Amino acid sequence: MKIGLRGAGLLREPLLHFIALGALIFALFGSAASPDERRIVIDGARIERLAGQFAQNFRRAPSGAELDALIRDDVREEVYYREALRLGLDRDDEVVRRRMRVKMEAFGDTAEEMAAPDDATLQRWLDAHPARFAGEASYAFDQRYLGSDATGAQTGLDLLRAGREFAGVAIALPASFKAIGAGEAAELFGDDLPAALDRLPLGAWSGPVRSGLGQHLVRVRKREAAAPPPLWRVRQRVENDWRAAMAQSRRERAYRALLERYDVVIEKPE
Amino acid sequence: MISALKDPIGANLDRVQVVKGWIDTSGATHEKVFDVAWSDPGKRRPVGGKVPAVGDTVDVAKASYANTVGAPQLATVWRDPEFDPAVRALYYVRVLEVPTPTWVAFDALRYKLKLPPDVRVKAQERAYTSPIWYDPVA
Repeated sequence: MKIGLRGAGLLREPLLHFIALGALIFALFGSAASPDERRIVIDGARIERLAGQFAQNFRRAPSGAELDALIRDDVREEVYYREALRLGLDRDDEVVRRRMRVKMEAFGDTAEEMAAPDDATLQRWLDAHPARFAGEASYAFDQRYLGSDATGAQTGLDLLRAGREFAGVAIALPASFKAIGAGEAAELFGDDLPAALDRLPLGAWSGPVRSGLGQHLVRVRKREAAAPPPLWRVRQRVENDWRAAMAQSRRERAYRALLERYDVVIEKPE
Repeated sequence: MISALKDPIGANLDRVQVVKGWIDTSGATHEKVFDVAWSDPGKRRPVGGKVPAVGDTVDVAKASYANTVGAPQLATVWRDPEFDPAVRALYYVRVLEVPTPTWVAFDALRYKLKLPPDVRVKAQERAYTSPIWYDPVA
């Protein structure tokens, strides 16, 4: 039992995947790509692949002459490739280096991608990073528009605070909102208003408050802070975020394992 | 009844125009633009049927403008003064913002470029409605 568990743990070890995949790739391509090998063999499988690529591009099989041309070109590529390796052109080339780095990093990625996380895992992730998934604050408020400047602000405030009506300047926006999100409020009134709605006292008329349209008198009736959403509403987003984080840490662990085998000397110029 | 509200993070409005199009009896097409609502109507009186320019606060060197001219909203009730019940016509509304720097001006500032004199560095952005059709037969 104990050994079995251990075996499972070992199977999940990214470094092991890394080495296994690396060995596999070496076995498949390593010998063919060796620069010292002076024999070029274009075998049946290779020709089938060339023909397959052609068929994918042109929606038909290549003719005999076309296939010969493909093979000649493949031989040419192989000759150039081996000579380039012999000359060391793969070294000191930014593009080649970066491409190989990307390939190495991709080894670690595939392995655990399939495992579906359970709700408890995702809930823990959600609890640990509430800010990433938080919704937005919402408000209930009344507003009266004063126009571009705050003329009549005091008169309006006095009337409204005394419980009388004050219409203000007509504007093509509702005078009262039952429940509006911070984002929607910003779309209607500009970015300053949601900030003001957070700041203003509850249940009392105040102002003048500046928006993108001019000046307003505002009464905030209700304010609901941005609450972390229940898992079922953001499950996919949490899962994606969790997966990305896991892949990142796996990649980091695989890199650390490789790095351990090196002595790194950094000589900064004085 | 026409009503336009500015973008709360954008420029003020200069004017609202109604564009009328029609075909006369000889088959020739016509188009006419009416200024129907504009900011500061007290100061900007129409001259020969055209409302004078709203003013220009664009600072090209800084690629900026100020909302000190124009209005946050414009609204009016409009009746076509040249309406002919026998002629088919189409109408649409367009709303003009006050002059603002074009994206070319922003790029010129950001990348410190010197622009050739024929490049447009300010423009009046505008919004259009879909048209309505008047058809005497219907």
